[in-house]
Amino acid sequence: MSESGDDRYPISIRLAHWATVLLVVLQAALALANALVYEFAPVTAERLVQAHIHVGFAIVLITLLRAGRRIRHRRQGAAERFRYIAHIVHGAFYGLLLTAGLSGYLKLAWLGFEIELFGVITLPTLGLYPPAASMATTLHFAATMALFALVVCHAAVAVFHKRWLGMPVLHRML
Amino acid sequence: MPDRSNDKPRRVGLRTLIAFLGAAVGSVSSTNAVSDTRAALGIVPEYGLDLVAYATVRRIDGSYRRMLIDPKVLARVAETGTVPDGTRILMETYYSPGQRSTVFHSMKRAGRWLYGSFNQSTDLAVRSQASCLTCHARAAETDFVFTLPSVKAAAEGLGTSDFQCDRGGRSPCGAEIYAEGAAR
Repeated sequence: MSESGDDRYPISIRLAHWATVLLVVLQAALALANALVYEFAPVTAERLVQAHIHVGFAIVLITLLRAGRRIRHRRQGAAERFRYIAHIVHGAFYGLLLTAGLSGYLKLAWLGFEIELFGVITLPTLGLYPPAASMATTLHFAATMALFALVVCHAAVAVFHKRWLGMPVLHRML
Repeated sequence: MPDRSNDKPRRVGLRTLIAFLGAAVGSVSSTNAVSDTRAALGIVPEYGLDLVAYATVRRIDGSYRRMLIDPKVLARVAETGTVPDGTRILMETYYSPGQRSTVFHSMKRAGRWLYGSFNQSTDLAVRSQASCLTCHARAAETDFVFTLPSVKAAAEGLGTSDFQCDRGGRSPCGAEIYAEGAAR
């Protein structure tokens, strides 16, 4: 806890955390909406996919910045006895967020699809290798599912800290 | 000994004539094959293109899709066994008999498939689309065309394929459904 009694995380960490939460939820909504509207509004569906690609890029960027900051400024974030578990969980979060983004890029790059970001950056394609694209698709789905499972665990652990350990942690991220 | 000094030009001329006749016969034969295909499958005039229906894929939710292709492409598929560049495939979606909804279409250019769609107007413009490509990647073994077995069946003169898919809505059928559903 700081001298002022405010033990909240720095504003940059809090912003990055909630931006990630918002963008991950948005990603799920975009993917779901694409599946729902594709048949009747394929043009809209393609726009949703393009938005999904851009949001994915933003998540990867924020995650890299967060991971970099975390490596440079380590801070104890959980009860002492759970510290190692907390490190593993946070490492898993960063790993899954990056894996989901990277596999999303790879599945298109191995299908020869040119991803254009914000009309400025064109990511390189990797030729036409459908089996590799298929593996990337499977990885993308698995990483996404694992990420959502981890999000549920993460929220449950915050409740566990408050209810059973008498150690509220959520306020530090608000 | 007979003088054959003038035979060479005559032989060349004969070869040219045979080659010409061969090409003409081939062309007539190919044209006939296209005409036969058109007659067998029935021409679909709606889109300002020369198209025939080669498959109907019925879904468990009652919807169905009618697949269309250029009969000239079928002739090429029959010859080579592969879908050539320039091939255009249209997929009409129906949610009740005769009530056409979105028409999806694809075109093969430089070995890559480009995609487009329309509802009311007939917009045949195609471009690279992530939403289409990622789904069609599941049909990579059949050149990104789920119904390739039906295309080949039509090319071999086996008629229009008509089969039931094991899924509803947007999801592609299982690969074995496309293979087993092709006309025989």
